[in-house]
Amino acid sequence: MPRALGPFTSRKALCAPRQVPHTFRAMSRLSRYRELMQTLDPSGDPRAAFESGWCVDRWTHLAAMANVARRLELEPWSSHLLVGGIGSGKTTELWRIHEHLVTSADQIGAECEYIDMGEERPLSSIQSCDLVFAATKRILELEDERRSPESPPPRAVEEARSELRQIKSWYAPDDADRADAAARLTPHLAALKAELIDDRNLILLFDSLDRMPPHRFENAVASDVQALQDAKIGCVIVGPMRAQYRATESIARLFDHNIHTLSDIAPDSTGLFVLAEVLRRRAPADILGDDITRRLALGSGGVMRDLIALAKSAAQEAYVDGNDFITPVHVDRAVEQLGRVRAVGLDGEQVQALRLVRDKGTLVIRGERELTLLETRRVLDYGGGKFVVHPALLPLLDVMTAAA
Amino acid sequence: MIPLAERIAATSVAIEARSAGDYLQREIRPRLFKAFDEERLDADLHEISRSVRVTRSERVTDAFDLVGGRRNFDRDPALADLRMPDGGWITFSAVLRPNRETLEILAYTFERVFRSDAQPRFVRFDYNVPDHDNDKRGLRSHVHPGNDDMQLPSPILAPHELIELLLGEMGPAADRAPRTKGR
Amino acid sequence: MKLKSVGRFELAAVIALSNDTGAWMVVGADDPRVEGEDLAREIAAVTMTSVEVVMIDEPTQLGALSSATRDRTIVFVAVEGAERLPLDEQRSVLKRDRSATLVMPIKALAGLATRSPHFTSWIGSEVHVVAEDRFLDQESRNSRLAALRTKYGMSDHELIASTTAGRAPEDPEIAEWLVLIERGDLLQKSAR
Repeated sequence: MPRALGPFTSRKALCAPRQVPHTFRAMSRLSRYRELMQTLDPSGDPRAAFESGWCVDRWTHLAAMANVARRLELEPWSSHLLVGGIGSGKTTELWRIHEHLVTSADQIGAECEYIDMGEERPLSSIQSCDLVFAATKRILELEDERRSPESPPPRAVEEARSELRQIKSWYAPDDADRADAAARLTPHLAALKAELIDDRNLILLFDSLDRMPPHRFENAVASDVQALQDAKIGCVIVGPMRAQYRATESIARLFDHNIHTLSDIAPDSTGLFVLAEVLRRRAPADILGDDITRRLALGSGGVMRDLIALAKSAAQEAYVDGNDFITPVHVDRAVEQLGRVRAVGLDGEQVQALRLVRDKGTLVIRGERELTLLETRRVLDYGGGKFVVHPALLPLLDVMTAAA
Repeated sequence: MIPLAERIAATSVAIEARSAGDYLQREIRPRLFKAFDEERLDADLHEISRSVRVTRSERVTDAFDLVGGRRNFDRDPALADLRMPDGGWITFSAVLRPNRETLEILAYTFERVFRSDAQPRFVRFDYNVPDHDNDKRGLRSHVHPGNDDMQLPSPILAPHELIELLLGEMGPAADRAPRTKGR
Repeated sequence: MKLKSVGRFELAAVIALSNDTGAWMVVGADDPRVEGEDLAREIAAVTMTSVEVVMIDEPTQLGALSSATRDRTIVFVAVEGAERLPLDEQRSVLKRDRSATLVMPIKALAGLATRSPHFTSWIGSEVHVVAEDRFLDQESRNSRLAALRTKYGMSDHELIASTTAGRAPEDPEIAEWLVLIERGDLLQKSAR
């Protein structure tokens, strides 16, 4: 029997959106900087930032993300792998996809849930069945929430719960057994989904699997993705960055070639415009002038989180200096600090490899060394074979080479 | 009647701090920091960090210096480290000694220089080393009201109290209008 | 490539500025245990709140300890296990309401950007080495002494001689001078 569906909210608690004043003129200096610390927080909740309207829609330039949304509209049960560098804005894009799907829920008849696997299980021990497990748990929670207290749980729900309990109790370290467990939960998944939302579609967004050991990713998700497909539940899974460069044929087939890369923003005129706009939404011009946003954009290499972090760091420098606004000197200090932190611990061979990227403008990915440089954001990939050394690190290369 | 010198000496206080570093950290720099945040002090945090320090002593029981700003006998604005919004500045130097769980005040000089056309141009609180003469006159602890030769008796204050005083308005309470009498 | 050192007072001021955002900062020190206590006192002094020091004896406890203290300003100290802290793995559970400063041995900072690139990026590269900043350095000491000698037209020897003879000026600057040349013992006990 169809149940009235209220406005859909994902499990993650909604953080209050924050209005940024368009001028700080009326605020004391301390209040201005305190405000900036809130809006320029690289560890801030991406969902809150998104809800506050701080995130710039890149979909007109970013075919990859628009593609995910479009595919999910047409095939709400499709599976997608989303990869991108650290701090490229993957979580933000997941929330944008979430909003897109939720607002078009009526037309496409789909609902969407965000699941942070980093909160569900220790990432180093994620194994097959964990995604299905998390999915089942979430659906059960939602179903429980929506069902009126007087109605008894439907049979499908009881069966799923008991299956879930059984699996939890015999912990099977062997991948084959856990793959089997995923398969066992699958029929329940489909039934649960029906119980929850009748014949509408369900799309799950799984975040944080880019932080699990990359060599274990495929084994961990293969049977789960299959199970989700069998239950006709759509998904977007954030995976390890190296899947971009080392995608096996099996991964490609698993996701039906729906592998989407969220790249960093190359500093051409459009890119710089977008990056400046990202900052402008978080800080007014009287404290962060246009010349400063441009300088920060260039120093960030187009890495979203680095952009925010640099802006915050520059703001801190300005505060310590007793300034009313941020100047180029403050930006330069912030960029140098970021560069140094990223440079610490690099060995002679890595510095050599970086010099090569600098001199040739490209990177040949032969093995671990190159992959590590990419994964740790010392080298940025703008796509189309264009690789650069992170601009914050670039000026330090010569100093390091001299010492190494 | 208790002589003036004795009454003033009785205003001295044992400061609740264990060491030079402790006093600087808990009572001195936070006041300057607060004034910085409230824009009552123009000096920035680097300057506060650099110019407000204590001497490190061999033994924990030794007397130590607490200084604020470079030595500036000639009142040269170029040497002013702790600048104030009115164009003036503060400098200070105090000598204290740990005594059991507290600090004893041995001597100090705290000066607030105002902007160049102000009246008075400066105010300075001095607590001299012990000396028979000024002790008798009750002037070991005194204030110079903008005149290096004029000394008026003053209670003995703790360095953090003096900093608080000099960073403030030194005027009447907020709800009282300033009064300037005569010409 | 080395990180620049920042004075403890400045670090505390920056931590105070972001205190309400629950920001993380990593600080390297020679003796993390001692520095942890020092830094906690410094942060407490500038924020005028209490700051606890929490030892992380077992690296895997990081997330649980952070969650348990998320609404308080904390200084975490990790010594032996610092290089094994599961910073990236537990990043999802390190979100806080009040700031956290993680103090570790300086040598453990070397691998941060490589070992824990997600965490390092997430905290915006707030990684610093702390420097002691409370004591007068030799240069400042010397320039103060030079100014004093000029003002009073005396050498240090002459100062000591006249103080011992009871002839030195009673100015407070004389007391400062004696301490600077480590003859604070010549200062009499305060008169009563």
